[in-house]
Amino acid sequence: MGETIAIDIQHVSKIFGAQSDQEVRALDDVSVAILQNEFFTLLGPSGCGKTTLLRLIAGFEQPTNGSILLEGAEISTLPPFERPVNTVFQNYALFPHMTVAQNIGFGLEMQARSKDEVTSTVTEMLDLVRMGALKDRRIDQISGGQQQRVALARALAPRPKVLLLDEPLSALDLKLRKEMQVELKRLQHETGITFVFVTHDQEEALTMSDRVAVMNEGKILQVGRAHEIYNRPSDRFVADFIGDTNFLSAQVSSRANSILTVDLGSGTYVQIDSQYDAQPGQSITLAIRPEQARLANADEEAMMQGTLIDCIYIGTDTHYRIDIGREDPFVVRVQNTSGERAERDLGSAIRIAVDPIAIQVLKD
Amino acid sequence: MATDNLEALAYKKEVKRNWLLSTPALIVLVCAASGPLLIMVLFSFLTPGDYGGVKWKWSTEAWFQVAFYKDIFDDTVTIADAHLSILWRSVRLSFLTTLTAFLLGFPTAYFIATRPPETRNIWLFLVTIPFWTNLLIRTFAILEIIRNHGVINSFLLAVGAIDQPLDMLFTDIAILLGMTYVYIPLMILPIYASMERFDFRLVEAAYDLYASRWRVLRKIILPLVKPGVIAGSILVFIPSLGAYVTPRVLGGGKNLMLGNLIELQFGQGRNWPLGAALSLTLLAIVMIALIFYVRSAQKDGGGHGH
Repeated sequence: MGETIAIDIQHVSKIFGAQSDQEVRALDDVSVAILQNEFFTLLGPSGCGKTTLLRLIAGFEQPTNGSILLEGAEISTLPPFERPVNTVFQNYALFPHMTVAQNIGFGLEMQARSKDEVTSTVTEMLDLVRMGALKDRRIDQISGGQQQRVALARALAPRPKVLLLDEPLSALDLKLRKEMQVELKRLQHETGITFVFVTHDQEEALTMSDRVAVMNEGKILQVGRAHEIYNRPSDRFVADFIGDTNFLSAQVSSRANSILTVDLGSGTYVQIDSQYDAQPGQSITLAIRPEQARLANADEEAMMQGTLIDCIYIGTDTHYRIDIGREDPFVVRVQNTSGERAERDLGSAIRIAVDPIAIQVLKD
Repeated sequence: MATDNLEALAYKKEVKRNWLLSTPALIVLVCAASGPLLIMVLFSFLTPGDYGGVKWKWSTEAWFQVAFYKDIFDDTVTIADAHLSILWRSVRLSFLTTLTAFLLGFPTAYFIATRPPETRNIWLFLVTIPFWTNLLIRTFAILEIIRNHGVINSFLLAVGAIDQPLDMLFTDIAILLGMTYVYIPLMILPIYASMERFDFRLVEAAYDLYASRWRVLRKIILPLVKPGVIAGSILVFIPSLGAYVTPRVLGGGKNLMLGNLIELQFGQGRNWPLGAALSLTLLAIVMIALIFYVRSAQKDGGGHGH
């Protein structure tokens, strides 16, 4: 992964139906830099603007404000056929009147490459996505997973500077999706092309990406590596969207340097090392991942206690849902390491321990 | 063994039932298509009656007359250039009508297909409105527009663009205009039907793969709506070739087309066998043209008929 910027998105806004009563602000002053050769993922719920951002990069939409630079050159006014950027569409959009090989060669032919070059590149691409045996098949004669590979090969064949992928795996079943995730990583590695990947599947985003941008309501909330996003979510939305989280509302009682003393109510205080600049008396939210909390041993100090209301065994883990006297139960996830299930009776008293380092302080 | 018999019996029963169910269609086919056609074939090999009709005397004279002309005085045989020039005009005008209808109809169909779904029906409705009025009335309306003291000439004279009225009526251009107007819905509707099923996301995909707008039209849209274009062309070309009312009204008496020539044989010409032979010639031309057109259209671009 280089440090040069492939795509620089600067203060981009996109308003649909401007000057009408149904004005929709799909993107709101978005700025982000996508680096060369990185696998960059735009992650968010549907309607968050991630697909709009992708379409702006591809050139299917024009930004209302702001500029998009590709390797330093402004591209936001160019039509899609003049941008060295290719897209893998959600529905693949393969040409039904052409064979597999003709589909892959289409972009090269439109670029008026020589016949030899088209033939050799198509062969190379067919090998890359392991579709050589089916090159003369028609599109309706191959399976969904195979169409996916052809769509990838077609978009990669002209060697674009950036490959855009619009939820390309959403139509595949789970097993095929897992295979394609690995395949996509391999292709990105082998071709060295910058991938911009759009998905609403957080697991997909975390496992595949070099960096992830979490989006909601037309804004980018946080950009970072998978573990940064997971372990240091910038706000409640990110913490909630990525993985499971227990939220506890609390109050800052005092602050000494970076150490916050937080009042959890009912006489419980915890000390947290946080960069968050909170003033005493301010209400905050604490976020604790279920797997980073644990059932306290008899000899250790508990942060909270409650009664067990549910105990769910899911093979690798057991989830304990504990009523701690708040609106939502607190969930503790314990890995089943010994193979033996630690039996707890429903309704029994449970003590919960959490390392202060695992507690995130979020803006309320 | 027993099951074999049962199966054979069931099969026989099914065959019988299928024939029974096809009876209405067969009756229509025999009475409305094959029957009249056979009568035409028969008439074309008979001798013309003195006051129309036919005499039951075998003759190939009519077929000879389709292409050749025998002088009544000295019996010299020459090519029937009147027939050939009418034939040539019919084919040429029909071809031009089809082409014009395509050039105007394709963008129209594209326009309708790209409107929001809820407004498409309004546009389609507008396209079909002319069908509500009698063909003759519509043709006379065009005559009123293009005649020497008609709407266009009056306007051009009034604004001083011309000193003399333009001679538009009773020309091939008038016939072309009239036929295009009459038959263009038959081009628009099948193209629209193909285009409505067309996935416009493919256009984006092609743009993304460096295809210019023209290339997208040539390489993606046209090949995929080709069935509609073929159907539309056939629906316009065939009735144009046999058109009768439009060339009669807008072409005056002088610019005959095949339809008029045939009508003449059954009317003033009192030569039914020749009329029948000419009709069959027209039929043959249409069939041959169709076969060639469909074949070449399928070959072009490696289209796979769906």
